[in-house]
Amino acid sequence: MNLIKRLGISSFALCLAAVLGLVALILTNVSVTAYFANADITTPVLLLVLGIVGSLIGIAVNFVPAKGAARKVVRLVADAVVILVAVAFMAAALVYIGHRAQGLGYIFVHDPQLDNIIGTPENTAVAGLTITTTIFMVICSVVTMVAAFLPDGKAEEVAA
Amino acid sequence: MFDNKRVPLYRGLAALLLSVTAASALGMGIADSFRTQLDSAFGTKSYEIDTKEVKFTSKYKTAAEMMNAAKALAVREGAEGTAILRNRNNVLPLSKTGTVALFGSAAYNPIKFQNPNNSDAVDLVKAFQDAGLTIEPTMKGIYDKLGAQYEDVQVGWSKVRNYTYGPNSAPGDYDTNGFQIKEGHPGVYESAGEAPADWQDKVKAAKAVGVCVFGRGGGEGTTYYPGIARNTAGETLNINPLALSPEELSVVAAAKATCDKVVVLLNTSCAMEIGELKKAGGDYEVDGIAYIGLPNDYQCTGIVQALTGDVNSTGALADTYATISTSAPAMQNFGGSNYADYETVADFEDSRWPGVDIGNGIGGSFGGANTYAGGMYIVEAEGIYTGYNYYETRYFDSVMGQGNAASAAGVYASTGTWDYNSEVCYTFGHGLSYLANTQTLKSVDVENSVEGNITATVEVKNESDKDGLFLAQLYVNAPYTDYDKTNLVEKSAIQFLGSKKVEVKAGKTAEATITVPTKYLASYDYKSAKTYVLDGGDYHFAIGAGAHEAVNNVLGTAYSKTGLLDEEGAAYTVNDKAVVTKAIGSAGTCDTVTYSKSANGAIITNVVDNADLNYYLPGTVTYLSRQDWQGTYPKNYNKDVAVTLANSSKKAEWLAELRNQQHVIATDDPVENLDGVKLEDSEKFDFAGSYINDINDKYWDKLVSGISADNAIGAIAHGGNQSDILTGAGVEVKDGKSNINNPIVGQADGPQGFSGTSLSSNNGESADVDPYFVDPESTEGQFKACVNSQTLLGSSFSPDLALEWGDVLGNTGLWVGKYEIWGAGLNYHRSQYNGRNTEYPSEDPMLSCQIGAEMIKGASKYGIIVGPKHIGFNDQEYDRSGICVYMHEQKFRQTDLRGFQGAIEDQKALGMMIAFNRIGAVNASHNVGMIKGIFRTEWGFKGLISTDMMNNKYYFNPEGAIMATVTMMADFAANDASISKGEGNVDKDWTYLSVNNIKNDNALVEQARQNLKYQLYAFANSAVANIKTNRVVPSWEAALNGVTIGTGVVGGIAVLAWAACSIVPLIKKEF
Repeated sequence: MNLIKRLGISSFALCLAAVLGLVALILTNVSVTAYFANADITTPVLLLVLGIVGSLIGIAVNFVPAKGAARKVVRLVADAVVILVAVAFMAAALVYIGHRAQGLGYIFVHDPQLDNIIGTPENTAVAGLTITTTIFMVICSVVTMVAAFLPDGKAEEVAA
Repeated sequence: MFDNKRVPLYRGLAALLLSVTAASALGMGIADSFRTQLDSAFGTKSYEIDTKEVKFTSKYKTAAEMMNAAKALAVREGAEGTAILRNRNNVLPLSKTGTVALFGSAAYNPIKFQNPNNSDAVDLVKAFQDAGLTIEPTMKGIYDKLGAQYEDVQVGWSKVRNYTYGPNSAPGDYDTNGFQIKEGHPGVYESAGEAPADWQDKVKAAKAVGVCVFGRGGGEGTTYYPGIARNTAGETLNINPLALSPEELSVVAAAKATCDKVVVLLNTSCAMEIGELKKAGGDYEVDGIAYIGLPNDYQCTGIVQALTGDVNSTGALADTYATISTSAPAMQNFGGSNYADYETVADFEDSRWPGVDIGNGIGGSFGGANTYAGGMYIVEAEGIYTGYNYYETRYFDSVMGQGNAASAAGVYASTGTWDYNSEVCYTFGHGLSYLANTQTLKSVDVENSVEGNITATVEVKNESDKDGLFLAQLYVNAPYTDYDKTNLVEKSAIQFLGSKKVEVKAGKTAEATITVPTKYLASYDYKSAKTYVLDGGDYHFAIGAGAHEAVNNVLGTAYSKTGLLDEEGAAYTVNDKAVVTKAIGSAGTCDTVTYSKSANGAIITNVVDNADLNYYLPGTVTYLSRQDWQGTYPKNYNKDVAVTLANSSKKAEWLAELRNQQHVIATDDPVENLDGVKLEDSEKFDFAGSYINDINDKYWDKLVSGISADNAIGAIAHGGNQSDILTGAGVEVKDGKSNINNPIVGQADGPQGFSGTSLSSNNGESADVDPYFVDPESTEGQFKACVNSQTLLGSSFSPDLALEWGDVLGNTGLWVGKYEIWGAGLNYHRSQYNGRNTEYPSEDPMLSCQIGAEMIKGASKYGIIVGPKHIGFNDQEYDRSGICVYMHEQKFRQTDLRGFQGAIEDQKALGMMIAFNRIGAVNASHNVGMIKGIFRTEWGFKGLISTDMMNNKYYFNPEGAIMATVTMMADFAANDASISKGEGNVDKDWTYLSVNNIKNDNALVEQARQNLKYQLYAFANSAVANIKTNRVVPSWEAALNGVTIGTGVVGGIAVLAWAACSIVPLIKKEF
């Protein structure tokens, strides 16, 4: 059986979500600079890690050597994890942007005479990075949602 | 139904719907922070306003009346603030049937204080045309072409127009590359301005008066860097940025070459170097010079009224124009630099911030690296001798032959020894009247008590054939005694006391009465008596058109000096009716008692000894003293002296201050009432109570006892841009009701008025229930009343005009539904290099004191809380977020704070904003001596106090601010009043704060409650009392909540369906 059938498209989507999540995680850590030098990223980082690990679990479950009812239970857990992953990525995006919303508002909409204070290239850059990072997180969530709709692989036949 | 094939569908739906649930629920939290903005954008409202019980009402019956009053006031600022400095060959007033040839980019595009961009805003060109003058078309064509050459530069998300040939706008923040003075040299008229080859002939043929306009801008976050500048091409010039550049002077030369008469208008908030314009026989000497400040949308009409003689010229300089701007002794210590060992401040394991690497570099105005921001300092060694207080006192001592005044120290423009006429172009208060008049100081009465007044009567005789307005200025020459010399009490030889304008019919006389609190006559003795003292002896009260005339009148009359010169270097004719001498006390004695208590009975004594660098390093600083100008002229305490923290015997205390440890959270003082007392409905906030006007009524303490410790500290720590819902005793906020039921009040800004706010902006109700409903499509509905000009208000020298601006501000607040505004910039101009001078009226704190007092008086009538700012030595924007400003206590009390005293102590303002910087080593917002000691205790201030923007949690901290009696730390949070919102129930910013950590600091919690009492008291005594707010759910909130609930429910069903699909077949198979 080829790899696609064994894992299912769902697992590939989860793999994509994990990679995008990793990129979002890196961007999140990079975005603690300039205006947001003191920003708290603990929660979004935890949620992203949860999402990435969950995605990997969703893939790894296809390799679990279980069959029959045990296989069903593993599948059940994996399904639940996929749902949680989608929520986690989305929550990460909202928490992350929520912590920075006022800062973004201030950087993007301020009195022009404060340009040299607030509208600095560094602040503008980190504001842009914040939006990019948030978009990555939302895409992670969307990809995971898509994965949740897709059929599972047939790995259990092999594993058995 | 529940088979395996449906698992992906239900799993997908569950993932989708629950993700949307999470997004909408968390999004609601974000939206809540932007409730005001969202309501504005969607046209919804989160609070319904009940206007049935109205305590304050606008005097304007219609929005059109309101708008017209604001415009008229702005025009008057232009008319009364324009100061004629020089008027030769009758160049002024300009003929209204004549032609003016306008030179200089600012002539066509003046630098403005603010830019409300009202649709009918008037610039100089339009103002001249409206007045009937003809604009010479050739020059206009040239400058239209030059002005069209610009680049819109993207700075952040804003576009800034970068003109190739000017006008100059704001400098950077202490840009060591030098400020670029952009002005098109006449050489570019043909090359870039597409001027015809015979442009000079055309201009000559027009027989126009040449009017050159040159300017320097400023604003928040800007500081001029002295010593160098750059020209239009970007080449370095070895001149000060406030000097006229070679290109600007060449424009003057071009105007002189083509026009018989030339006037230069100074469009600036920072006094420029204009010596070349009055140098007799020089290439650039002009006939007329006038100061026009930084106009707003309508002031140009008034400026032209003054220039054309529609009104008599009554403006006067609010700043001294030195020949070389860096000659002010304050400029010996400007900008600042680091302590020699500033990094040792960061060499510390801070128990508040375990594991956090905190440096001590310069603090960013917004954001930046972790830093205590306490590395840099300046020493204001000039003491009280700023502006004219220096130049005129030194002149007085030169004439009197005392204090080594005529020595070489501080010589910039003189040759050899210090010479007033070489060093000073025009002094504070200088302004020429078109209409001939004589002024006589008829009488001066002095009530020698802390609540007494000095009342001076000035008789003004109008010797012209026109009716007109005239300005009278009152000064005093106080005795400088042996007591002062022994105890280093400094005294300006001439002190501005007050001013008044009076209308006088042609050929008639009228009296102007100037009333000034006598307490302002006292000097602060920080060394011996440690309180205000009043020397016994003769006080020579004097009038004059400026400080120089006043001092000359004193010298000629009281001291019989002759051979005195005016500011143009001509012989000065002493007005022997300009001086009244009053004996106060006995010569040789010093009254250390009468002014040692404030009007409310508080004992006045030193509160900021540690603001003096000598406190930490004795003998380091020598302050400027008129006893010996030569020996005490300030050195530079950044370059000439190494200030080392380690060398102090008080090193530990010093370092603690620099680390912003003004209050250590106690662990042994249990909070008696952690959760707040549950209040009965009758005990909750109510505007109708008889106790509202008496802060000492026990009602208030009962009320704030109902606020939980978490809420009390949180509300101050996260003060936001509006007040928070306060509660306690486990009472949850429901429909806006809490344990306190306090009103939610938003804040507005700035010194120009309600910034960017149109008269229709508060429309939320229909016209039949909202008395201030304005049709948004109407002219007045779109009108923005932020039309004040602080510079022109200052140069108007008119407290009456300030009262009227306060009146307009107050009425505007009612119309736009905003009851609290940081709306009176009152800092003094320590130097001309602070870009923020745009927002402050003058170099003289007494002028600011009176303007501020009247402004507050005007606005208070309408219940608007106008908070003066930025109290406490915002002397430069450079490193404002942490610079240590060292000074002695006489300077502390008699300069910057004096500018605010009238507003706060005399007129009982109900708000104020503290400066960013430090006083000495202590964050000004943590400074207990200044805020609690002086403002609250001595001045009896009962209102709300905000920090400036809380931009660095390692510099600002709630415990420091609370103990100083600050009521809110400014940030952009909305309803955020808790120190438990961070992870682990700690504060989300100051993670060392939590309910658990402050539960043993009763003093902190009780002080927080007391501070909120001040906030609530201010609201109760303001137009906030006009409204009752009822919380309602706007449509966007309902929609979000609907999405959250809907997707949550359906998502939950999807989860159940998925589970069923997964589990049911499993059960079937196994069983």
